[in-house]
Amino acid sequence: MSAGLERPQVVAHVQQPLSYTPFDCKWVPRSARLLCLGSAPRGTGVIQVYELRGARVELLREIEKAKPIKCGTFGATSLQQRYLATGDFGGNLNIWNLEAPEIPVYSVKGHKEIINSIDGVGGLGIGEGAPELVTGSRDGTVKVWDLRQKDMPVANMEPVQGESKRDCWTVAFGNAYNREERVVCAGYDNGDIKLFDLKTMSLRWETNIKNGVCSVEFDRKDVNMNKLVATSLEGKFHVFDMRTQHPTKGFASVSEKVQKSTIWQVRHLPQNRDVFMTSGGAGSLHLWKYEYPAQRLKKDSEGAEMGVAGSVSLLQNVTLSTQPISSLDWSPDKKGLCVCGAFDQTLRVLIVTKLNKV
Amino acid sequence: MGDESLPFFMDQGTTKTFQIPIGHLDYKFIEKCTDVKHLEKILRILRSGEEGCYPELTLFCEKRIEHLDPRSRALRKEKSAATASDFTAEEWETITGELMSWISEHSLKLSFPLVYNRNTVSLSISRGVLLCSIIKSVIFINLRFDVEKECSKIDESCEESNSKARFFSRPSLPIIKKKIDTTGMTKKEKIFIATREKEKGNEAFASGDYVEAVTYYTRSISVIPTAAAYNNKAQAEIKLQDWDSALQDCEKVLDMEPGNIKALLRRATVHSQLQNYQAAVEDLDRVLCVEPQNAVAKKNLQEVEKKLKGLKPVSQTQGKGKRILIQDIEDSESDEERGENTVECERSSGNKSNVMSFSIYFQSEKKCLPLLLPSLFTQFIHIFLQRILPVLKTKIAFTT
Repeated sequence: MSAGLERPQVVAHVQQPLSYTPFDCKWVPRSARLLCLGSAPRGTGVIQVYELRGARVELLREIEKAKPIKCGTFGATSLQQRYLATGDFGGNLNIWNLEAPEIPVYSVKGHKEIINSIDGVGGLGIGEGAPELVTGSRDGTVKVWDLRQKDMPVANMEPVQGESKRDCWTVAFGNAYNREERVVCAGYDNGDIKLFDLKTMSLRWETNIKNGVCSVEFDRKDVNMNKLVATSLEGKFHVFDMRTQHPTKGFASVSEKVQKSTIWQVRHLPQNRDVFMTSGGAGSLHLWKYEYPAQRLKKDSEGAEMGVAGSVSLLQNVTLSTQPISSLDWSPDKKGLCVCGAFDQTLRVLIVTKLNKV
Repeated sequence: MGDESLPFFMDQGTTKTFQIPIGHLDYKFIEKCTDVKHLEKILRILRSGEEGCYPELTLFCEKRIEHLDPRSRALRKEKSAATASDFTAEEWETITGELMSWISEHSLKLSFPLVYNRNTVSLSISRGVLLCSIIKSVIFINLRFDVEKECSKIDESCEESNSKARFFSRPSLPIIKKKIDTTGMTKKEKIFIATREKEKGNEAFASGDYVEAVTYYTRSISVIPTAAAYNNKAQAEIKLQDWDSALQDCEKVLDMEPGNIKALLRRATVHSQLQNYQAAVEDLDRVLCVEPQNAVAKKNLQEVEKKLKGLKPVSQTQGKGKRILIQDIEDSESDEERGENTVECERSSGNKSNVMSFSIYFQSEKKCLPLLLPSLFTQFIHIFLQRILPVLKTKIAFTT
């Protein structure tokens, strides 16, 4: 037990009750502010802006919109502008200037059904190349948006005609280490994970992890693809080593069973890509560290290169609620500062200690 | 302790869930059992309380499992979040203090300044070109935009001088720009970007990709040249055995921070690799002046001095023997350097043991012989080579 204190500890710094169901929460880059997005009881959408002030958060602004808001990102905006991109229950992609949120800066009816997930790249100095957004929807499509092109996505990835449409639950950008390269990873309700290469416009890789894919994230968007974590409905997560793709076997992976309930989200620590947190259906958070194998690369019998997966170790776990923690976000500016929103209608600001020592 | 005498009403021979004999729920059995899976089942029964509640036996069983397999999943318990009472007063002070100062630093700017970012427009066109140029190969993906318009863009952009790269197939090594364009960035943004690039370097270092690490340190330096970035870059270059660059970077660090211990140690390593033993000794002396107890410096100084003495008799084999030193430095410094993780230590621990046994052997022989006979000495060197050579081979496999 004495060794326990040497490990990172998770402190619930602020617990803020909400009057609505939060679906996503985000730190505003370069600030001590955070956003909470969700659905109000009367069926409208809510964006709340809080500021962290000492041991409490103060509500700065509350914005109400017609449709419940499912997801948001700052990934495609500049550090100066910090426009928020959101996806809502009606399939609309909107971009808001939080200083003047009455009318969206950009708006498009992107999907026929709810936008489950959104991600951005090329903004905030993260990722080379143009700022782009990607949205994944229940209508089965994944669309990539360039904000200079009105109304039309620059790429639309949907099943070929005749194939059944799957609900896309999660999307993530990666591999944006120079101006040409970029990939999108999408996870679907049937356990499919697809990796789209936006440079060659092809399906680069696909696999199935048997259970619905709740969340995917690259350890960093702006490096040569390194690792991908995918979490599933049945309490498992998989870490793929994305550096080496074998012609037939694809990417090496390691999986870990956390608990019986869904793992809703995974988020990598922005300051150290080998540390990540998963949020569980039973109101728990798990902090993990990936350890690389002695050799990341080996040759198979035919001389083709294949990756070798490492291992994951549990650094810490806490249970904060009896309800699922549906969203999680690390502060990009302050290491160890984290916000999470749970279905018990509480927003929590957490401090994770000793991350320098892991 | 009613643990051993089971309640009389339980006449079943086995437990309900796993059909384990009731007798196994016993201190003696648990103490002797080495089957972790079986113990985990017992623990689950004890925790569930289906055979009665035995808190101490449960604890005993947990300890036994922890002893056999510290990473067992059965040991994971639900924990509530830590609170002030879980820390010492000082720790708590630091945690909250750091946060408060960060908050006050960040809440000064009360509005979102509206500065338009100019350097993005040209990039977006190139993306469109890419999408269009490979449209024929699209099978699964359905593109929706005006093909002719986009194709005309290709023609336009072909005339641009910098468009060549896109139409060549990508070489195996990824092209990452070594410089970051910082025009229009505020100082805070620059710090943010430089720090992030350095972190990317640290991460690449941790995963053993030293070429990538050097690239990201270079990018960080291109935004803001910091001693830390140069210092880490030097370490990655040492791993790559790029002695000249490492020397330059160490010197840059020492220009900025003359007393930087790590830079001195690294420069000593490089000097010794470049056979400037005297310069290496000077650097190590400087370290020991500031930190007389620095174990790494002491050990390295010993090694270097040994080399200085043995310079003449072993001149033809220096090329191999000198690498021992570098292994030692890397191992011992990995504890200090945040960018190097435990895997790195494990990876070279095999080498380390060889190196250690080697140096002990060396010293004991030296004590036995009042005079170093050149012929005997070279014999030892041969033994050394045989031992060290496989180590060197694995080392090369990592770095290339």
